Amino acid sequence: MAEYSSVEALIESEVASAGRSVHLECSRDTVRRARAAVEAVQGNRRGAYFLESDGGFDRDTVESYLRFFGRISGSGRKDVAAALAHFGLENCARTLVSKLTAERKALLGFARMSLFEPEICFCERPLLELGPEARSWVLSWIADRTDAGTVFVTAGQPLREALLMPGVAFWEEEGRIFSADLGSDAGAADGAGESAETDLLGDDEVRICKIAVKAGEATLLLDPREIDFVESANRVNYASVRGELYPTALTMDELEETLARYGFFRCHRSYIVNMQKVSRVERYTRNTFNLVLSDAAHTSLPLSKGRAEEMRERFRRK
Amino acid sequence: MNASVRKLGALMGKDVTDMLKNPTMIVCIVMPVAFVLLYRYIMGNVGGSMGMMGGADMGADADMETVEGLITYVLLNTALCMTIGMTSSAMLVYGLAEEKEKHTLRTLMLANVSAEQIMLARGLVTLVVTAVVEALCFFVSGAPMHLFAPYMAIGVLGALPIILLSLVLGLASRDQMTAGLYSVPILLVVIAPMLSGFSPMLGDIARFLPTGGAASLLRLATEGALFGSEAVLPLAVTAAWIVLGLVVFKLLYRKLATDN
Repeated sequence: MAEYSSVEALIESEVASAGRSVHLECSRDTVRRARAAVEAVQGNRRGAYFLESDGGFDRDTVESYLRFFGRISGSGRKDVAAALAHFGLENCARTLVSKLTAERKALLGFARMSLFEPEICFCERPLLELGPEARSWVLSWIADRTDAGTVFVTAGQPLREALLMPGVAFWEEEGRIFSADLGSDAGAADGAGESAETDLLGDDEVRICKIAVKAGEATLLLDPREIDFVESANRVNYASVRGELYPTALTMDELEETLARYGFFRCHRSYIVNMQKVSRVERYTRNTFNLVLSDAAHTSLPLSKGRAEEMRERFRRK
Repeated sequence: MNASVRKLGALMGKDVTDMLKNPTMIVCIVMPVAFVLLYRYIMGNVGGSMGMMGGADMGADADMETVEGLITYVLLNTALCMTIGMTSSAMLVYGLAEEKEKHTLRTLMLANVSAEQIMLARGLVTLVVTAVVEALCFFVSGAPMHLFAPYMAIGVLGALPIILLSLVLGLASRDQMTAGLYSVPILLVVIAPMLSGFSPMLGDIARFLPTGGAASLLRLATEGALFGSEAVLPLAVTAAWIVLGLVVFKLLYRKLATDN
């Protein structure tokens, strides 16, 4: 399992030497340091930066803003039009930048970066403001650029979002950075298939299944059908119910086994999803699949490559 | 080279359109022209009555000429000082402070644009706008046309040190609030020659301030003595301020531009 003593060491070895994209769940301070580290290793590569505090250009319209950056980057009107179209900004081309919603402002930032065809790209919480549709525009741009050789560094987002993007996801604990992906898929994937098959039907005793979670001092007993997904973060497992995360003492393996017969599926080492709530499977690059849920926030969850095949088989049969 | 010319063009285009869309900037730019008009009206009355008083004396014509020359000097000096002060503080101190406050400057510098290009574009646009407003002021002042060329040359020369110093102060401002503070010394220094008529002591100090050289040169021009030996000192003062501005700018701009 890859582990780094600092974010600078991570950027130096993963990004600068290996040319891999990395996505970090980390503190604000580490986000700032990550940006400085990316600037330091950028060299004379074309860079693009998406920062939360990006602002200004209040008196520009979406179109004049992009045209200006088009002139800076040397791209023509066609590229500007293509960027407007890809990021769904065509119908607000004449809107003032200061009047845009947070989501559209974020999309405008990505449209701006796309004009530069960057070779190295740094984003602070890229998916924070984005709804499901906008998220897919941005993720597909990131996937396309990744195929074209761009190295992405994203920072500050929850691990769930970090795992949605091509590259390696990392999380931070007390200044150290740990990989969230390595060594997970191959090993953990096999066990999962078997346990789900041992169903005990034909038994006429009433089966009661409740998942115990903590809510402050109280213990809640959740009906599995209420749970949208289970997430494992920083060694604690959480059940997500209507946008709230409740910690549970059960292990991921126990949860996976218990919940399997209610139509839950271990889509990633750190995630168990209620398949009943999955509305869409998205694929951006060969190796990245996302599950989009039908919950209020339209949460996206990562689907590991190894498990995608398994999921297809299991749910096709039913 | 081609790319940097293209970027410079884009930046200058942005600065110009941004200025035209910003009502505060427009007011700052129109203000000197309005002031010169006002002064002309007031001075015209004063000049007229002075002329009438001296009308009975011998050599009244010579007096009239001196008075008119003086009025022209006061009008043109007001025009230069006001224009340089207002455009520099509005476009550079406030303009850059806004870009810093809203992180526009950082966005640009992270978009493969260098601090030099941003500063050069700003400085050039400000210089051109200053020259245009100076020209407008000249036409409004009703000064004789033969003064136009020396007036414009002096105006551009006098604007250079203030533009350089304002760039530094604009970059040093964290936000538009600090810009308000930082633009005060610039404005005071720039309009000092305008006020030097009120006290001889102030006049002596003002002569060595950044626009003092330009004011002295302008006075010589209205007296028709621009190419005499008297022009050496004010020219040297102006040149010294330009050099000083360049040095301060060179030392500080890079640090200030990246410092958020």
